[in-house]
Amino acid sequence: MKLPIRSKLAGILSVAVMAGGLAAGLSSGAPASANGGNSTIRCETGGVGTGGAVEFNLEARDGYISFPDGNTVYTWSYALAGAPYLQFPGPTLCVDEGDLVRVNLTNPPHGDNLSGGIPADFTSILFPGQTGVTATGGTAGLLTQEVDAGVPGDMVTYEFTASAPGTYLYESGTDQAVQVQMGLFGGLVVYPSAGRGFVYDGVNFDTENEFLLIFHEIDPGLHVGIELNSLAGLTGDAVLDGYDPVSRHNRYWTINGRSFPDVIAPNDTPVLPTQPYGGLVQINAGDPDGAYIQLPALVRYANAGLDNHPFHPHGNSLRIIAQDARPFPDEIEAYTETVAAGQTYDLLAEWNDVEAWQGTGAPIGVTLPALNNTMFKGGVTFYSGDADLGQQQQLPLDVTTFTTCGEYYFPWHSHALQEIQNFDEGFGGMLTLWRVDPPKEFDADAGQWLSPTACR
Amino acid sequence: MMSEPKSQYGRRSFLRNGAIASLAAGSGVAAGRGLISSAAAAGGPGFLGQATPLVDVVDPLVIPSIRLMTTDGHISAPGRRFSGPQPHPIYSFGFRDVDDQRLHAAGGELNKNPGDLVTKYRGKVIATSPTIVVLEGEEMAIVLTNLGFEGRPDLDDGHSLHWHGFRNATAVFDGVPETSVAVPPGRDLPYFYDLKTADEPGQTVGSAGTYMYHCHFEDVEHVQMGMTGVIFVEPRDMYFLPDGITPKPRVKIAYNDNSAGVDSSFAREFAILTNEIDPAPHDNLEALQEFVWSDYNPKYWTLNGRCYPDTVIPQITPIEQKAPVGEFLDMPLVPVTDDEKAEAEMYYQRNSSLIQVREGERVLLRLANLGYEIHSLDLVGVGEMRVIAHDASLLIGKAGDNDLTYTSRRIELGPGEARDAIFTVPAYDDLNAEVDTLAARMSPAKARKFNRYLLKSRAGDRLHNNGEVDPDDGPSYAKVSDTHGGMVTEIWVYPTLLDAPGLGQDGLPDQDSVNETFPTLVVPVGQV
Repeated sequence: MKLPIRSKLAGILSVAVMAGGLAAGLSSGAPASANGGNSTIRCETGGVGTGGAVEFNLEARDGYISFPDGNTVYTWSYALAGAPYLQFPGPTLCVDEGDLVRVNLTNPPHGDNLSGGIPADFTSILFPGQTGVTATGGTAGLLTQEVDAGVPGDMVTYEFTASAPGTYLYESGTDQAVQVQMGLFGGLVVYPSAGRGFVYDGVNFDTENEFLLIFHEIDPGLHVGIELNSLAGLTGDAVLDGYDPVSRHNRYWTINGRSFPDVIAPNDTPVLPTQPYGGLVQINAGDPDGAYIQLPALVRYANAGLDNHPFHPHGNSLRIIAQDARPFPDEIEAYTETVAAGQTYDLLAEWNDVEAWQGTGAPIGVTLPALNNTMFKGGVTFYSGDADLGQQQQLPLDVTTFTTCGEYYFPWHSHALQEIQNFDEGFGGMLTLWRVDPPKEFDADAGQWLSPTACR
Repeated sequence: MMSEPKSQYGRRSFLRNGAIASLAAGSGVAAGRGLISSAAAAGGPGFLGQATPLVDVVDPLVIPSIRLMTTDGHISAPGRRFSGPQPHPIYSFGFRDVDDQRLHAAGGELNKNPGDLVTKYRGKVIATSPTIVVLEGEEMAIVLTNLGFEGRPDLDDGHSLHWHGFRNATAVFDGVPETSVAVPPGRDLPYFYDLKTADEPGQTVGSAGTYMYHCHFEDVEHVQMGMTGVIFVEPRDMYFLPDGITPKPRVKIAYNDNSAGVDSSFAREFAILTNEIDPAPHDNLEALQEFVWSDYNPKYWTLNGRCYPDTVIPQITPIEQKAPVGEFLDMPLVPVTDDEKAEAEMYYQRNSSLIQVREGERVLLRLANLGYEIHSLDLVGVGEMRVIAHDASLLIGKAGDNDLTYTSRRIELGPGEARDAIFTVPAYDDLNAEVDTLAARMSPAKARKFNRYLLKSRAGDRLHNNGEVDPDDGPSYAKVSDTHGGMVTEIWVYPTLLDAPGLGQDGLPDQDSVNETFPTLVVPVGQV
């Protein structure tokens, strides 16, 4: 009982085509990933600071993000210093175990709600899970040193040694009920001493297939209140007039700051300038013949929201390696894992063609009805028309498919199903897709294993 | 009746390798085994049950299959009853099986065309859906037949079936209409899955464990409207020696033998699905109104689709599915007593959560959550549970030799998650026992007593029915003094069979099917 989704998905079509185009454009220098690196984790690696520190310069910024139903929402988040816009969530900081990490935070003058600092008197950063964090400069706050908007150029420098590998968040440590909800958070990844192909020492993964999914929720009503106050020239406590965290009533649920279907648009899609991180999980099926040994993909969950989210992949169970950047003594398999607010998980993902679906069209013992005796919702589909992996079939006249090489798509979503809505519109919200391409093939010209040509 | 095991290789692989001959015979295996866990069809002594032809889409000699019909109807909750001065049951959607699962030639309904089923079943929803029991090593199919809506003939909603949690599942049978296909009204589609064993190629673990199934078409609406069910896979070691060929006496275990030494054996098992109900979208749908799903705000909390005290009303099965063994009590055509009136309210909510056990037994709880809230369930007074599996995965680590099972008094269950937990029943205490009026109704000669314990939500606000705990609110099993509603069920502990005669009691029979109650209520002929 919902409106047709044709118009909404038509938007994805352009995005999907864009993904293909970018993948082709990147193929020369990029890793030979089916993904073309398009929605894999996009690391900010920082500069080299004094004392050999890995140094990041972050600014607290305000601006707008957009949602698939056409709404735009005023938010606060972080950006690399000098960037044209805020990015939501903040830049993903990637460091190596043992690194001295230095983050310099400033809050530029608040402007016109588009590219300035945030209209709060103070802001700061916490690094949950890190030990020995020092903060210098600024003003003493409740939890850490804070940047004072009343002091031009005020800066706080946070330093710590990345002592334990894993997936972390960083977030505002000031007026958290407001500032974290407004979007002041980001991801932080510490790679183990074994190297960047490992999630922890002894646990390696396919470096072409590393994904970071950051969860969050938004009550646009709270944001509108602050937006209007800000546009009226209010700052500091006055900008929060009317803001009641207890009345929070979420309408949007996000992965990497985007709601589905925007989630599956690639990294840096120009149509979402303030939401640069994609969330499509794209892998190749395991090779059934075993000629090419493919490592599992690594998926990092980080829940920056205020609610717990039960996250469920279709297609296969996952292997949980660690929680809150601390490895479990052994793997636990799960088909749904509830990620608590503030919690992170590291999981290994793979899909193996155990049933020999690929290519042959071998009968499956049941007779599928003709496609015109089935229903395609809204006239567009992520189904190829063929049950077998790597095959495409002609679809009914009024149906358009997004598949290009007979790949499979599996939803991967919050199972609190009211969270996979965009306000009141289904197949949205905290949902992404798991794209499974046919197994890699050995490309003699390139001298390496590559995704089938039609998938690239 | 013991069947042959499936070949080590999947049939599809076989066909690819050109070995077509003799397959039908080889995998005819479990065709004699029904999938629905009614008192009749579940794996009772000797695999009694019926094949399900559905010859149009599935060859029953190759693949055991069941037909589930999707439709709408009403369900009952305290304050929202079929009977009483102001009848106002809750509009719902659901899957249901046919009443008569015998072969067509014998008068059954299994291979009728969808059109033949509409008159009898459209508008007669059953929610939650039947618990489906399948055997590891078999290929299987659930044929989904969309009967349309009686109450909303203007809606052309499709339906689908999602195999929730099954490993290496394929897209076309994933049941998500945006990434595969859906079933339009008046059509059907067989949803196939191959329940592989651990020793088949590409496998590291077998398929045994507790899963779910639900509709994924307009998922937030159809799932909340009631299209949810439990499906679980019995381990192959339960039926065959390690060679995979030699039959062995059926020993109840939840998972295959494992080098970690985890004991998954049990005497009785109960599948319990947690849900919530927000009446607003149900009422809006019936009144042709939209609902804004981000306003979801439940008022009822259910176990197997029922609120306490309805949760303890016995299991209900159609008379055609009545097994040759077991205790049965006919549902009266015209209910007279309060208990009978309460039972009649449950015509369309057939899954009981009543847990009847004998002292000292190991009892397996298969807990699954298809609500949208996280639930925390307490086992009050019974002691501890051993949680042996999460999400159909025995807790034995990557190499399978690490016992990661744990003891808990509480199960925390997120939406879409499942847990398998085993508890040992405490000793029977005759001094504080209550008389089993159910057994007495079945036969005045059946003297039975039990001790009562609770399995319930920890959250006090979920122990209400739309804000009420008044047992006088319509026909009810509740005692006058009862102050519970919502997400609660009871555990009735009886003495051992050995002790029962000494205590002047008729003993509690062994369990033949999941969630079996003593007695089971039988829907009379002509009632659906």
